[in-house]
Amino acid sequence: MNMGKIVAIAYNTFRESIRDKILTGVLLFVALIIISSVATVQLTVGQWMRLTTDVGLGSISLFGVLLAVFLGISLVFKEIDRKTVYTIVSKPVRRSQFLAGKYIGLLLTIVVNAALMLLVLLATLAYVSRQEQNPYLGIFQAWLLMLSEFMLVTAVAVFFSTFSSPVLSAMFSIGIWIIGHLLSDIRFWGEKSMSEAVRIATDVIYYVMPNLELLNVRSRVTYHIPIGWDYVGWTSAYAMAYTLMILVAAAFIFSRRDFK
Amino acid sequence: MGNDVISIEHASKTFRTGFLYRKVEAVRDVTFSVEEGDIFGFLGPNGAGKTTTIKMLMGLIFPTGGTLSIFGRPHTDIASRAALGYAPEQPYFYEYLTGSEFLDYYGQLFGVPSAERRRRIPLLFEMVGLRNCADLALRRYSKGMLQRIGIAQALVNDPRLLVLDEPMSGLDPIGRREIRDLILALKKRGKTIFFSTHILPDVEMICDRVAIIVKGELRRLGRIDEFAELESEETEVCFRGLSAEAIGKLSGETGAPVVRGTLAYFSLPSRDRAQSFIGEGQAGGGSLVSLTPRRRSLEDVFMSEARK
Ligand SMILES: Nc1ncnc2c1ncn2[C@@H]1O[C@H](COP(=O)(O)OP(=O)(O)O)[C@@H](O)[C@H]1O
Ligand SMILES: [Mg+2]
Repeated sequence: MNMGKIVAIAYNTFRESIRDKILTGVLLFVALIIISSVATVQLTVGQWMRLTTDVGLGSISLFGVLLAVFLGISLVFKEIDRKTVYTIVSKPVRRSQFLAGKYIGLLLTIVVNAALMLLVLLATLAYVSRQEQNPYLGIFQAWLLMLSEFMLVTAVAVFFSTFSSPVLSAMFSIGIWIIGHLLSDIRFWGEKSMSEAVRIATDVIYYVMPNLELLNVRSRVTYHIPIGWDYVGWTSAYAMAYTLMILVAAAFIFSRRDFK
Repeated sequence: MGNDVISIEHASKTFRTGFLYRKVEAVRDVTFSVEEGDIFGFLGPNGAGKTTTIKMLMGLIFPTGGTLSIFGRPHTDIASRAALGYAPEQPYFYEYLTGSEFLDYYGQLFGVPSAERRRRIPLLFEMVGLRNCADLALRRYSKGMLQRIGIAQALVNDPRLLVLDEPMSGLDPIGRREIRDLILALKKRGKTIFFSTHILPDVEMICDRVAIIVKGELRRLGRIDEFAELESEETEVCFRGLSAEAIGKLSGETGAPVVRGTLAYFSLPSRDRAQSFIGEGQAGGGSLVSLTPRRRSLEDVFMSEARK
């Protein structure tokens, strides 16, 4: 593997996104939501903290996932559609290197965006109160787990986009994202079901789909329930392993397809 | 064989399209090779399969059958692409990059060291006639400028082999002339150039060898001077003041002449008959205006293959 080429591709992908004005728009929008949560109603300082943390983490998560899906599905599609891929794949660059570079560049974009959103949230909280209880550690841990979720969802979107249209890829990715958050419910329904087939189906879904709810600790942060670093560690490792697996499958498909 | 820079053997590509998965045989059993140092013209009308062949060679689509190699290596081996430059048919590039950012990015993908990139890139802008456009965003480039930077990007690794898909399209006659001169200059520097085109007049004088492809099949292959019909002895004879009756008589041998005012142009299949034909014309009251040997052009070969 030649890292120089992957880095060049990743850098170019990142450069494309920062020159795109849509991202700045999203960023400003999220900042506006977070800041305006302070100004909503008359609350005690404690309630303010809770509301702002809740709204802040919630919107970072939602917009992060939206970025992951919508940038992810167009990542490869745009290069094929505009035929820029022709001049790259015909160079001494493996298709898997191209995919890796594109993915890393996109992930970097999402991380930088999420970091800026986090900064807005922390600054807002610091402005609202000089708090007795320090929520910052929990917020940071929740943010790290969100990054893991973005990483995984991006990989899912890229995977689908290697063989299907952007619209279908978006539907599949959002579908998996929703299912990934409802896995315990799905399994619960399955176990109560009379039908053996339904039970087996829900079991399969439970074990095959990524369990994204593991990466959601937002309510614990809002209610000041501590999160251990070991929990952050193993759930991140889980997300990373899952991501890697999906990316390998994506590279396998991408390496075999025609660019028509 | 040792000098073959490109070698294509029995290459075929069948596309499946549409709802019914209808078969489209874009390329059928095409075999040819390109020797080191040659300018090779890959000619054919629109839809003949030129781009499909080139895309197979570049590893963008996978052949349904056959083998393709570059510098003696399988075309899917990425090491075969280190000394290769390719400019695709429709040059769409990263519009958010400036010209020099773009070439620099592509230089990195070839692993060209940064000092070498800094030295080479301004020369490339010069070479393709985009002197003051290095810092202009590609979205501001015109179609012709994109065509030129498309060629510049193909030269960024100083390749030994250049593959250009329709490098003249989208250019005005002056631009086409410049590209032709550039191709000749690159040949002088020892490079092999393989290019496709459907515009023939520009091609005849620069190609060492050509292949003509029509409807996915290779129809002709060889050095231009080996094409027998180009040496035809067709001769054009022009008379002034022939009577209609005389014209009718003379046409028996040649087919109807082209008549312009008092002039009548006959085309004789062979030079040997010219002497007696002129005699007959003069006997019919005509005076000889001109006798012109007509060399057939590559375009005639091309047209007759395309019509078959
Ligand atoms: N992706 C594709 N799917 C289906 N048919 C295709 C595709 N690409 C090319 N073709 C068909 O293959 C034939 C050759 O096309 P092409 O190689 O682009 O011709 P040329 O470059 O000589 O103009 C055409 O009939 C074209 O319609
Ligand atoms: Mg073409």
